[in-house]
Amino acid sequence: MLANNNLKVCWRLVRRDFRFHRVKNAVLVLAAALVTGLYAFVFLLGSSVQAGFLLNYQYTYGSTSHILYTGLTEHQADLLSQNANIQSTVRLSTVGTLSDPLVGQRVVQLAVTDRAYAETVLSLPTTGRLPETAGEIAMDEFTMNSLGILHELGAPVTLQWTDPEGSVHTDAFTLSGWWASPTNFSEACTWITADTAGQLVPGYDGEAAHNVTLGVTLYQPRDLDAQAEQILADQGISGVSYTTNLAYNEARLEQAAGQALPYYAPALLVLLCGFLMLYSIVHVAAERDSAFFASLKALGMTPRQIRRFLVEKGCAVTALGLIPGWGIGFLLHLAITSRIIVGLEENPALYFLSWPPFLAAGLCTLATALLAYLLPMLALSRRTPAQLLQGIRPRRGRGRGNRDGRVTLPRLALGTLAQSRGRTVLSAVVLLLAVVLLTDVQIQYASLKEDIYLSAMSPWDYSIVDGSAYLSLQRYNQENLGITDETAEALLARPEVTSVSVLKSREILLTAPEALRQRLEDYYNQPYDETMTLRDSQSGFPDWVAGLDRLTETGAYTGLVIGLEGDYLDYMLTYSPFTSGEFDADAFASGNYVIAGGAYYEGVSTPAAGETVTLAGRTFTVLGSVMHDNTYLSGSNSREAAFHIAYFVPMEVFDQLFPGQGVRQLAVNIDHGQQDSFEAYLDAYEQDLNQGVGITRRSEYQANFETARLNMVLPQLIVSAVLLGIALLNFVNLLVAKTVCRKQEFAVYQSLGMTHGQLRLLLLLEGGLHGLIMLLVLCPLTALFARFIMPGIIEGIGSWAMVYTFSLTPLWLSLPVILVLAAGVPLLCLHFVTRGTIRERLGGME
Amino acid sequence: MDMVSVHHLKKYYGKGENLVKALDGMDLTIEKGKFTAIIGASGSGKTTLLNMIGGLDVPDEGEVIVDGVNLSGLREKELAVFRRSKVGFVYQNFNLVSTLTVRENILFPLSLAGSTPDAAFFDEIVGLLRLSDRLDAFPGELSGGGQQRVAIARALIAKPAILLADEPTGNLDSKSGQNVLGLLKLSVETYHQTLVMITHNLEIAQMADRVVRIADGRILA
Repeated sequence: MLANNNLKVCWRLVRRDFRFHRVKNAVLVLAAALVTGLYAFVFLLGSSVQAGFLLNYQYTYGSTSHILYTGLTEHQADLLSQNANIQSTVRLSTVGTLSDPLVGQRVVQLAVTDRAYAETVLSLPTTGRLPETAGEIAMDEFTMNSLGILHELGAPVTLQWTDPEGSVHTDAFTLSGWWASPTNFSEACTWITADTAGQLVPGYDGEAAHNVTLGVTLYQPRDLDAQAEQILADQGISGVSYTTNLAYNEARLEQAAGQALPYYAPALLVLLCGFLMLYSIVHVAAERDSAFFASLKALGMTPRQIRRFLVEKGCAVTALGLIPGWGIGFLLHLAITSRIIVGLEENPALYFLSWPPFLAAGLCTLATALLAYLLPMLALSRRTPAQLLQGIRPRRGRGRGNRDGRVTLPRLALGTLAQSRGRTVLSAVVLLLAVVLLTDVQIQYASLKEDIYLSAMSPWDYSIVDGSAYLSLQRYNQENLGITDETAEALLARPEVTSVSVLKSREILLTAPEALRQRLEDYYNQPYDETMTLRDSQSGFPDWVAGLDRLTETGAYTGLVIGLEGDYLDYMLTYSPFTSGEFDADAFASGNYVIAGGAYYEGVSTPAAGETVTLAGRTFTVLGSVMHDNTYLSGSNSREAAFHIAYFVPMEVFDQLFPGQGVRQLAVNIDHGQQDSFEAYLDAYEQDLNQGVGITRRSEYQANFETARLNMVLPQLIVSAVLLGIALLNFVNLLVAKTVCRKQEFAVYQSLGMTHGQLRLLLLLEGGLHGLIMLLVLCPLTALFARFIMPGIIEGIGSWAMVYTFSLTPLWLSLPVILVLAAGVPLLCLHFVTRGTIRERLGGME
Repeated sequence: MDMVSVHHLKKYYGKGENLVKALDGMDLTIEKGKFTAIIGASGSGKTTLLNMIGGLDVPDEGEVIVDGVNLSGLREKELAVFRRSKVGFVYQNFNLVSTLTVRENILFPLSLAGSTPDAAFFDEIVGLLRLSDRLDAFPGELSGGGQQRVAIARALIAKPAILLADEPTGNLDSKSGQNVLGLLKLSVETYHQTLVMITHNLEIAQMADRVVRIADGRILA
């Protein structure tokens, strides 16, 4: 027999269902909106984190172009630009490279201004402008600080640079603008005009000049190396070198996806909890729906039509919840993502905003909603009308009644606990899981100690360093006077400051006596392990090896004289073990002694205690030698000083040896209660400077700590918070369902003489009992977890900044909410279940 | 002496074209200790009248006096007390509490009132209604007739002045129906109660002391 499946009628029934059951459907749409919002937030956060990692790789690469071809002629660049796979190109004409040793290990190119190229390498002036007339130059702050160039528009700039032929030039320019380069750029550009370039290197733009760098943006940024080769082959060009953007490297893409994975993981929980939430709402109306479908089936509705009805219902609920859900997700994203991704000037929530997460959220919500309708769909399709009606008959009671037959309200309330036991247990388990997870997060959070972190990251509150020594890639310019003794005195005069420690350094050329030379040769020739000597272990540092060779061949070496006091001296003495002699504060302060610092390896690699050394014409006795831990020194030394022996002298002695020498770095400690006012002072101080200084603030360490702490717990916090929210909704739903579906039962009670007050008390007791059950489950198990399981978890994490700290804060915060909900929700439902006359609620109107 | 006195009782539902006059100026008296059957077509207002007498619904106009108590002036709490002390309901669909045993269901009105049950009376009722051996069972474990007997026992336990039965045999087979009816009559006679019963069954109606016919919310002469 043919089944006539008029499916259009299903949609009509769906529309009527929305019209006549507004409350139930409004709650369903609200739940769908919440699920969409959570999905959208999780996907937006995950995609933003992933994009953030890729942007970081791009910063490391130094350009937003997909491929950079270097050493091209103009003709070759033109040919490559014509390739069909290329979307756009930018180009750079290099005149030479800065070769001033003070630039340090950074590669700074002297190139002709090209705004488009400058944009791709994030090198557009933020103060002033790009050069426009001959003799003007624009550069980044790190290069300026290394060279000691004043931060003033029009300031004179003298550069030592090397042209492509290898000739070294020194030329003067006028500063037209500058910008702050990202700290992880190892390459930078200084911009000059084409006229200036023509004057510096006549014919620099000639046909034969291989000085063009072409930045290429592809239509499809995949398999960049293969595409780079293919483009060269297509255009018939060979012998050209290129680099590809790290951000589009397959391994990096996978790495970014892997790093962002924990942020996507909560989507699984949203699926589970969203299903539970939607299903439980659907379940509340199951009795009414069963009666409805029983009558429809009796009238000839086919299983296919029922399935179609439920699928359309799921789609309609999802569709209505989409826009508010996307709004919820976006607002959550706006509020939270900017706290996770830091370092961008723009709000990362807006910077990384894209549409795919919204689409994915919509699809996932639809899947979740359909999943929630799946069980009712199967049940309604398979059962006969009679079975459906049978399923909604009152369930049999269980157990034994009271012998005297008396029924008190508490007993009546207790009896209802037995109903929907499965859902009560499920609700308790989900709540327990959420509270335990939150307790885990809270204990991890509380166990991370700021004071331990701060003392490890910086032994002092503030570091103020010369602008040429801010980055490890920068070489400290010992001619700079950005920070002076007056600066230190002014800081010490501040009411917030408790101590200021000064460190100065100076490189000097020394000659080692034969005994020292021989000792160092023997020292570095000692076995490092079974395969190499100590010297061999440093073969990756050619400047260091050259310095040692110079010493062993000629006895000449670089001495790094360090004048230090206060915290710097304490730090050095704490972390640099003595290999000969010992520290004597009085002797050191007398000015007749130095401490010699050598390699951080067992044995004496410097003049030993009791020996003498002559520094700047003054002879000192070596008080002791140490394995020098130099991590507190900012910036790097000259290439010649890659191999050096450090000599520590008191600051007064240093000033006598090198009068007028600027300060390399300051360590400042303050009264923490006055941190805000001191940082305001530092801001003003930095603003007024016309020379670069690098300031590392205590608040930056605190912010870094907070960010690191938040990032550590955030994925789990999101999961737990989502779970708790849904667990509470589930609990509310349980209470609502248990109350509203007993409308007729309450009418019977009232018809038998139960007063409104007794009914209110009954519902209050029922809610209270549910709250008590949750309390009995949550309190002991969460406390046991926090007390006995968490110490092991904290130990397993193995973070040096963690000290196990017991906390039940999430439990204490959750319990009042649970108890208020338990008591309040049934009472709120009372109005609905007692609406209308008893006669109406008992059913049947005549 | 009148147990129930209804004066010019009106109850309307809906508005305009959809206005339904469930009771339209009804006047009725029911004598104490008598069995009164109310008959009428569906929608004639039988159940509405019964609910008004039982204090389950309030009239738009008119007054209901039961055992000397004017229900119109009672607040909800007083109505609840009135229901538990003066009225016993027997419904077509039993309306038992599925989670309570037979014993607990029967004693439920007393439990609500906080009254101490009369053990001898309880035994007498359950004996009369043949429930002595099923007191610890749950309603779901009984037949339809058995459940209705529990409902009758529950209606009788508070020794109400009036028993209101809304088609008590409507969900039962004819044999069970006859039994239930017999029990109702027996209890009314035994305890001198007034019984008001709605029925569609003319055979049952003929067993009553008085038959009241209702149509369109009015008493037919």
